[in-house]
Amino acid sequence: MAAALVAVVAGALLAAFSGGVRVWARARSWDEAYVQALLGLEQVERDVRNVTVTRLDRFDGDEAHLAIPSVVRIPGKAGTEEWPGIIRYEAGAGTRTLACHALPRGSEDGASVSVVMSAVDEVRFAFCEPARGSGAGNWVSAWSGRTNLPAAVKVRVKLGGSRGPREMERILVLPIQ
Amino acid sequence: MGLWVLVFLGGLAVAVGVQVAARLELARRLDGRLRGRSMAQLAAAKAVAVLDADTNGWDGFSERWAASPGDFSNSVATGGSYALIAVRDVSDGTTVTNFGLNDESARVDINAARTPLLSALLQTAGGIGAAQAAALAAKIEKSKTPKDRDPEAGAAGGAPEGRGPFLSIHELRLVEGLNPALFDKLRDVVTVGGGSRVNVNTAGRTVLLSVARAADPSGTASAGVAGALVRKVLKFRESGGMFTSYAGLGMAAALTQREQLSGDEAALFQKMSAYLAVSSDRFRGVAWGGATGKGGPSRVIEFVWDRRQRKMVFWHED
Repeated sequence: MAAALVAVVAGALLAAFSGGVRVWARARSWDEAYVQALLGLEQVERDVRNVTVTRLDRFDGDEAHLAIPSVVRIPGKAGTEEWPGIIRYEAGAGTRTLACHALPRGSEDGASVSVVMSAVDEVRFAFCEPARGSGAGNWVSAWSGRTNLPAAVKVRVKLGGSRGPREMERILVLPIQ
Repeated sequence: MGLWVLVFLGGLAVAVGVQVAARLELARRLDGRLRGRSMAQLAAAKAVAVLDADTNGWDGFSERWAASPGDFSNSVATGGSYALIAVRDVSDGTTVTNFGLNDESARVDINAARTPLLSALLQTAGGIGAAQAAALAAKIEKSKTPKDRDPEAGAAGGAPEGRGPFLSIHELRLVEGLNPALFDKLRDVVTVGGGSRVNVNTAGRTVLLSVARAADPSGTASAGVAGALVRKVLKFRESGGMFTSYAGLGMAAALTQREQLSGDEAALFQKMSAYLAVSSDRFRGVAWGGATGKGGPSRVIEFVWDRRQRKMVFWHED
């Protein structure tokens, strides 16, 4: 009787223990790459929407990269300085990352690079032509223009990671035309 | 043994709790940011609708687009709130904050403004001397003159820039001599799309003083006269007055209906009228959006709407 009781208690404890380990492991690997990708897409969307129409640089992109004329903030002698420049997104070669390069004009020392997504198997950009008349604009695989901007940018991300492959797609509409 | 297992499981539960709580907080903040941005976008859309309803030939602070808490401050049923905020100079030397928009013709257009006004603005807003301001204004002019129309381009000492009109005020940062500190002083008083004249109904103290300085380059009127005149213009607007015609005499007549002008002030105002307008095509809004109960900072979107072309010409979100 006593032995059976001990066996039941031990079994319950073991089940609780293994269950706890599983939950912990799940919490640790809780879509780390997915959450980072969500935050990264939020950053890409903000930068696409903040595109500056400027005589200095072109909005330029193809399937593998995106260069957005923008205002780049860098640390200066008296606080943050703003420079016209380029925000460039591209997949890091051989690193399975999406990198963001901030390239201010006139202050080459202020150039910086940061990783916005990791565990990235593929990133693809596409560009929507502005609609003419009642017809919808076509999606094209490359864009280059100083004052003629696309109506929207499509970002497709394929993620690897411990939770298996996942695909995310976001259409980012440009507020200015 | 059982006690140790319980202690271990308790520690495990705390560790899991910390991990999950951190991720829930992240998700909550992300949700709050997205909802905050939606609210700010809603405010921008509201601003466009209000501007569409404004069809008279002048633009001033007595109008709905300029101050309307009912339109530009709101909570919505889906769990968020928004506000459009505009800061303005008043006659007692301070500023007031309203729920509304500002117009771009309250600023000096670096593309369209005449060189004397640019130079005067550099002195008044930038706090630099007359000679330095004139030299810098000339460089700005040169920078926007396309190379094929710049007689010095290509010659020794010629301007290497000359890229055509500025499309963004940040391009000023690349004009030689315009350092970050000076740019910061100018950024709120310049634009690239306000027109060649300044809207007397909406311009702030610094811009109006710059116009006075540009209109009277020989300094016939003292700084005291310009200051007093600008104060009277601001007071006129605060009392609900609005200039509806930009013919010099019409403007002076409107002002003298409510304010006593000295002879010097009237003469200066007459000269200033060559630089002044009473309406604008572009309007700037600063929209704040937040999600109720989501915590975290609000989202801020600054935008410029071109009423004539019916399109956004500037957009910046944090």
